[in-house]
Amino acid sequence: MKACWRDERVSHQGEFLRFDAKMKAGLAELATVCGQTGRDVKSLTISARMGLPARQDSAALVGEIRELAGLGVSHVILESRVRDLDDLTAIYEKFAKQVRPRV
Amino acid sequence: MATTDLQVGCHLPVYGPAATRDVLLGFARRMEALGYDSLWASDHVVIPYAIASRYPYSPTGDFPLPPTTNFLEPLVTLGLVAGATERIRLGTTVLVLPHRHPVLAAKMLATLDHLAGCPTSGAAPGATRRSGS
Repeated sequence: MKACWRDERVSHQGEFLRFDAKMKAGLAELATVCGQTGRDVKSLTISARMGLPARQDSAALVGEIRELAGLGVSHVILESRVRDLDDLTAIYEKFAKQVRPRV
Repeated sequence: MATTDLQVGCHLPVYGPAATRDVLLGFARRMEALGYDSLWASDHVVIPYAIASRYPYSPTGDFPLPPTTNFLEPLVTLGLVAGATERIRLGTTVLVLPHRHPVLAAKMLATLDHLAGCPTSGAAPGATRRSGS
């Protein structure tokens, strides 16, 4: 953890966890290391940030989220650049009603 | 009804004109009512006028906000939101650790945990490097 204060780029090569620049390779490696050390990879929460466009393509979003879930992501964090509260709320309401039930 | 146990959270409007008490409280309450699992705040203690490094989260590599953008401190913001919500989990997508004393950062997170329950904090050394630094 000292490297988090010291270094610009942190690469952790610990006993139970390794960070990798490429998400897919990193997640695969994480699962491998967990298996070698006897830790259930499903006991870890793996989060991913995801941009939420103002004009949502629900089917595409469902596919993208299912793909993330297939990689082991268990928590998706949505983010929108819209700043108007009514528009922002509408975007998240639409996602909650049209996308969330399908993933 | 969702088909998996995937958790879904949303990012609080912590910067720009929407970063006000009324907007944050209204947004947080509405997201909780909609069934979202978590609310998140990001962190930029300062936005440099000249950035030497490539920003990794935009296609162009440019940081997307001007340096004059008002950008709220995430732990204080989450403290506000914690007082207006009941169930929804709170966290920082990232907390720029080098800008904070580690003991104080741990104390603030522990306080948030005590008052709001189970904050989740991503941590990083920062994604922008000021020119000349």
